[in-house]
Amino acid sequence: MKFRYKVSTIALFAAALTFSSCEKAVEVDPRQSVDLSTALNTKENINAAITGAYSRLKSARVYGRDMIAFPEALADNGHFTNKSGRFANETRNIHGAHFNNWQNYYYMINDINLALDAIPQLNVVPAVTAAENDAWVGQLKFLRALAYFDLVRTYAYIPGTEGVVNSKGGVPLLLSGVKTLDDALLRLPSRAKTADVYAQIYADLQDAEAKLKDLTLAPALANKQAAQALMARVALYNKDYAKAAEYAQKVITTHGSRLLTTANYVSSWRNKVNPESLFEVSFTINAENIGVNESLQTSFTTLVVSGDRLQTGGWGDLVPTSTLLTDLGITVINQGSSIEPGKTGTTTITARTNDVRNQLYEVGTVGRGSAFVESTKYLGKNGFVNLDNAIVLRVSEMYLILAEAQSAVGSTVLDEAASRSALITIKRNRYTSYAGSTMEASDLLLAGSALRNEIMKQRRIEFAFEGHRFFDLKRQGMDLTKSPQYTNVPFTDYRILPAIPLRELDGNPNLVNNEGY
Amino acid sequence: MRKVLLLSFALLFALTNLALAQSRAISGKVLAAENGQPLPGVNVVVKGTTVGTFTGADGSFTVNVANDNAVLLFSYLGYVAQEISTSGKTSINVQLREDSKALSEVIITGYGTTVTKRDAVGAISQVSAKAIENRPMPSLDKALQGQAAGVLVQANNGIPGGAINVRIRGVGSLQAGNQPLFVVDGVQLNTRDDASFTQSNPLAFLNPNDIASIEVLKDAATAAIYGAQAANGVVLITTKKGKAGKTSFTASAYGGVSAPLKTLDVLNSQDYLTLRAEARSNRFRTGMDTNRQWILENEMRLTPQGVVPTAEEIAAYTTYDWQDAVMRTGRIQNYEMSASGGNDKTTFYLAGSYNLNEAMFNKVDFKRGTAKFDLSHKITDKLTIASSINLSSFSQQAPFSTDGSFLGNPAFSASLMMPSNRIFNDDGSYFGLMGSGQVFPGILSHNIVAVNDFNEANQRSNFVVGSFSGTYKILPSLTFKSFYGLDYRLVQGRSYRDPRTNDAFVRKGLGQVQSNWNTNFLTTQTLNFDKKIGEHTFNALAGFEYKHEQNEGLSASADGYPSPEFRYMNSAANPLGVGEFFSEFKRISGFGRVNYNFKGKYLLGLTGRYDGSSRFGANNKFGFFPSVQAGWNIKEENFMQSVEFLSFLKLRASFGTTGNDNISNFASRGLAGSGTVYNGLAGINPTQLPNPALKWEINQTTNFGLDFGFFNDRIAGTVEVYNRESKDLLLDQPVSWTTGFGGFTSNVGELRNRGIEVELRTANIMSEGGFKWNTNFNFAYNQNEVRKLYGGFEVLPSDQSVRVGYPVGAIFTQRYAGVNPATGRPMFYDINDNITYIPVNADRVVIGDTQPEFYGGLTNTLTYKGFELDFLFQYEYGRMQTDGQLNFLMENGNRAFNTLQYFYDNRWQTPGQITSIPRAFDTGVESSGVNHVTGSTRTFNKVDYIRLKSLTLTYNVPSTFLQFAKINNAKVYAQGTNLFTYDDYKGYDPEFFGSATGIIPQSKNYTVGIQLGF
Repeated sequence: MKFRYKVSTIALFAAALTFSSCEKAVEVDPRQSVDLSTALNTKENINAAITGAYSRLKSARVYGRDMIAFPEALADNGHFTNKSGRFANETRNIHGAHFNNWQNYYYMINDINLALDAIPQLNVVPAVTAAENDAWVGQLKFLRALAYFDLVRTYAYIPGTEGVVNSKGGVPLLLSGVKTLDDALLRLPSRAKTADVYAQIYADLQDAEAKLKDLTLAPALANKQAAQALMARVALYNKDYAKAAEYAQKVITTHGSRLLTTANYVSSWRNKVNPESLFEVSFTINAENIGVNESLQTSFTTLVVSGDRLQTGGWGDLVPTSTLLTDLGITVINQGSSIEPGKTGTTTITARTNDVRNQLYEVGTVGRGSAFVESTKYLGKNGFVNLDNAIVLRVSEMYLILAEAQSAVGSTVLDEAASRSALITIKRNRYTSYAGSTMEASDLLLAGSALRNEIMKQRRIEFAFEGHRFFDLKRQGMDLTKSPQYTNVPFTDYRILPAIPLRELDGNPNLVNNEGY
Repeated sequence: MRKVLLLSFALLFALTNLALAQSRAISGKVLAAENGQPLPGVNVVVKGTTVGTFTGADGSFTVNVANDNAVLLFSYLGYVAQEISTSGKTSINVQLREDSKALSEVIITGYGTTVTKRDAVGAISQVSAKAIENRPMPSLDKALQGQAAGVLVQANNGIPGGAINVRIRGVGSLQAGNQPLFVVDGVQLNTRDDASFTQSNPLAFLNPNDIASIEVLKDAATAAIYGAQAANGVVLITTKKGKAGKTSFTASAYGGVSAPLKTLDVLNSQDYLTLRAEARSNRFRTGMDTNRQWILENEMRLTPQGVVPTAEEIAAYTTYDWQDAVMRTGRIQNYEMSASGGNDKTTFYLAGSYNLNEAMFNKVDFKRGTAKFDLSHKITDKLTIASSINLSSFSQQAPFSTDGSFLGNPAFSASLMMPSNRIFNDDGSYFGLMGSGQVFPGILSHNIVAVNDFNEANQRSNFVVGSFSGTYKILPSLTFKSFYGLDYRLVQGRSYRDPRTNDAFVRKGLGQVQSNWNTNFLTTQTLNFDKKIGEHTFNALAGFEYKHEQNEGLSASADGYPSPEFRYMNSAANPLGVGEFFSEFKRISGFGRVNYNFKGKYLLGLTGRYDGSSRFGANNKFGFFPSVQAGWNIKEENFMQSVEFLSFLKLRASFGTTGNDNISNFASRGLAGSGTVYNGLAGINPTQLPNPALKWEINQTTNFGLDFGFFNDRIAGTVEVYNRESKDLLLDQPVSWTTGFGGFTSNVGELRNRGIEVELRTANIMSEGGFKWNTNFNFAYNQNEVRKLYGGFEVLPSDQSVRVGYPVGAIFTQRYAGVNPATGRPMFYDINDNITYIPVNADRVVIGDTQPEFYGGLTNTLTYKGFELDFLFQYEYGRMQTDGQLNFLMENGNRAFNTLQYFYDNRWQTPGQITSIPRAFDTGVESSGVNHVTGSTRTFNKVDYIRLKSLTLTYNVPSTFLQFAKINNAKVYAQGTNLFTYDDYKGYDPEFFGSATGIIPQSKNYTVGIQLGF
């Protein structure tokens, strides 16, 4: 009995000993992540957080694909080839087939807000210099402005068109980061007024403009001209023509000389970085490749190499509509034929006008079925198939913004001569033998709506397959006049706006969805 | 019995006194009464002495008896002991009869504790080795199918060694794991599948023929000894151990084939042409002739532009059988040997096996080699050491993908392939390869036979599952055991996408490799106390356990290979990505159990476990899991003795709590993670919100059980009724995306499973002539209901299939209303039961759910002389699923791929026609309509079935035939699995779990085998 007593005492003692150290025994820290609450407490991690924010732009839901391809598909530029079935719904404006960038942009905004919150708190040696601070804050504010601008132009009506339809306001405006559970649970935002969102974008861009340095090297990172150019575009959308013209002019003054000419336009599009670019979303290494289903190259072309119709790469899901081909000055026969190249009946471009821009379109392969005239703006320019930078802002746009701001109805800086001049600058550099042509002569006579229509047409041609068209129509309250075989969508139709993701409304009584959803 | 014993003792002493020192040898043989097979390892003792021996492998024994009237006592576990007088005999042959009551059979209840069936108080299902023996299935979980009431086993697909879904008493968790805990000889296994290129079920490491018994702990009160891991039940696997006596050997082999259950009846080239032309004609209204020509020219590419073939020429177009080209007759082979033996101090068991299991689908297979070594040694009467080591390695050729609608996935594309597409060119080369200049028509534009041929992917899994233990008898009634277990595995894989295939043509080949190793260390220290004081029997267990698991991995990928001959990464021009991975968790636990038994009539059990885990929030790292059980052996009461037809009756009741910790290792932590890249730099992003209050999911089960036996247990069985409540469900609770996060892991919501389980064992016929017919039947009915979610939600925002008041997996969809007889257009019901052509989200209703209402199995065994016929039916009822593959096969001309003949034959063609299949329409979307294969009642199918899971005919060769070859026992058998299925299912097979899109389907198997003992 004594022995048993001893044993049980030992056992009890052992158990007590082990359990007293239990708390420690089951403490394990992750090795592949850092604690959220203290993640942004070094300069290196602030830099990494900014890189993390940039990387959100590569998502296929934004500049990886959708922000470039959907504006073509939803409007009148893109025709779906039904090779993979992608864009079949967007081109036909089917209920629900629309932008879906909410999650990605709000995640990016939280990345940015957390970094902006952390920078002033940074307690490091050596201390943060003013230059470091400006570079960080400038980039973060540019990125936040871009995110909010894309959100508000996607999910809300654009200022000046709001009265036409039943607007439910802008998008939630959040300027502080979330890193605790309580903050997250309390975040039940409502939609800010559209004007307030634009005001915030203005404020961020002006701060970014002041803090960022001039564009000198690669436009993969935010810079002063990118901030100014985005400001010009935002102001144009906001019908704030004076500011649009002012900022367009700022960029033209310092970087206008980057405008491509008829001589180097096509070859420059084959460069990794377009010389005109003020800001590009960069895809540098092949690990960033979006791949054969959703990359820009695969979306727009079956070709791997320009001119080689025997080698099939991507899907070529979205190609120019017949009306866009007309504007581009391309005449094609046997569009959609599956006859092999070289044989009679194969798809062939029979004529092109003197617009150099149409040289970025050619007949694709029959490797995935029918051949169509395809855009070759994205051809794996970064050394790997399906790896291309997405251009967000380039200099040409500044000329066309300047032209539009000075000819728009209700513009406070109305100056049709200056507008014509900016337009002609573009056309002179896009049409061979333009100087002295009848085209120039008639362009010089453009005025009023004819001038405005020509600017719109030039925008359509210049930025085809770059993600402008749908927004250009939307911001002017125009109907989506689709090409034949599609059904037009009037501006008053609810399908102009996408749905706010349903999950965002569950549990947040403050948020209202757009009409029709 | 006790009285008889005492009496014989007395007698024995008396006899001994009378005749002193007359020693002589008695020899003989012990056979099983049922089949005449020798019984090795039978304990033969001269009654009243310690003199004795064990029978050898051939059942023979020799024992010296001291006097003429000695009585020999023959005893063997599971058999009725016999006493035979040696008076006047020199040789004794004995036939032992199986203990029909079987109530003295032991059940293992965890941590080395055993209890007889008579005294068990938990809801435990036992599956014997015999029930799963020689089944051509790589993993034991698959072999459990239909064997135990309340244990639902569903295969994801037909990949040998692939994932198996095991649910004990329904789904108890929404987002944490639902798989039970598997314990092999005390080692708690990690059953997570770490393979990248195929499914590698870790349970496939064990040769099922090495298993001695499987116990399934179903009620929380029994499982509570495993605390926070036991919410989904516990499966205890005991492997075969050595027996003292002459070394016995077994050798066995089986071989056979796997074959497709069926091939899908898809359209031939002519019907395909008609269908697609009709679809285009209905869409563009340009007539059949125009569209037939368009399809021939542009889609099927059977005729040059402008050349119109005649009807005879069309009729002559060949149809190519792509399904046949990717399916095959797979080989199944299994070879194994074992040796068992030892003496009273040391026993051992050695076994080795090789298994080959080729799927009937190219080139998927499974090859396994195992080695098992068990040793137990008694150092002194008090101290015993034991070691058990299972070494196993299996390799699998991986399919293109385990599922999914990839064009290059042969399992997806084979049935959907445009039937006019050639497989080979006339010169024997593959048709339509990239770069050949040939165009491969249709959406499914990959020559999948070439893909299967050219690509290669392999997955290898190496295992060491072993333990070492020391047991010390401190007192006769008190034992201390120190146990150390290791579950180590290394999973390696490589995949090579050949540059000749479409997916890797442009990138010139794609190579991927992975390596993942998991080290799962466990130690358990237990004290076991056993004491009988008068009519009170006590058994108590106290223990401490520590578990530490580390998981590490490496991966890499590259493309740009010089040619298909170069298949290793050092040849690749372009490294794409490298990855390294590390994660770990720790758990520390104390547990105890007390069982009390009064007179064998009144049984009581108390269990408690205190668990601490690194996975949970700083505020809730520890949890306590108590349980109580009680049993009443009613038949033992005096007043029941007169009820003769009743041989056994026991009532049980239990209540217990278990936990579920199956979440990711750091789910409670706020994290910022890396992995993003921009402009050549690495970035970090917030990845997870913290939840310091995160804790276990709680599972509380109330269980009532009734065990009964009638007519000397010729009819015996068990009925269980349970109520299983799951609380504090581990759930990813969404937050607004505007926070920068999608959600956080939280404890919210409640679930309930209620059900009835019946197990029935009957001896239908036991004729004098030796004919026997036994039936085992099991049935489980389970009712699952989501009781509560958080924040007053009636529906889980992230998952429409989780709805308060409905089972998990509720199907919430639109209702198909058939075809408008006038137009052939598909119609749906709106929420007000009116016809609509464009159903919207608001029209959805719950139409069923993905959990079976009842399921089970039926085993019949017929024996006559040496013959034995055994067949197992397994069934499921009340489950609905959408079959992704079938949905594609239902498109009926929407797009350029094939469809099922059934849909073609029954499609709407003429006004007034009554059918449920809409007219063919290119794209499938009529103007102002929706695709007819949109999710609706039309795309959810009942997957009820009864399947003849296995059928075995065995012949036990009589020992007289074997003696010349020194073989003790031998049996030959022929077996078939999945031979017959009763269902009305249009897809490939109703037995699947998940989406079924592009999966390797199940097969039927035929094997023959031989098993020898010597």
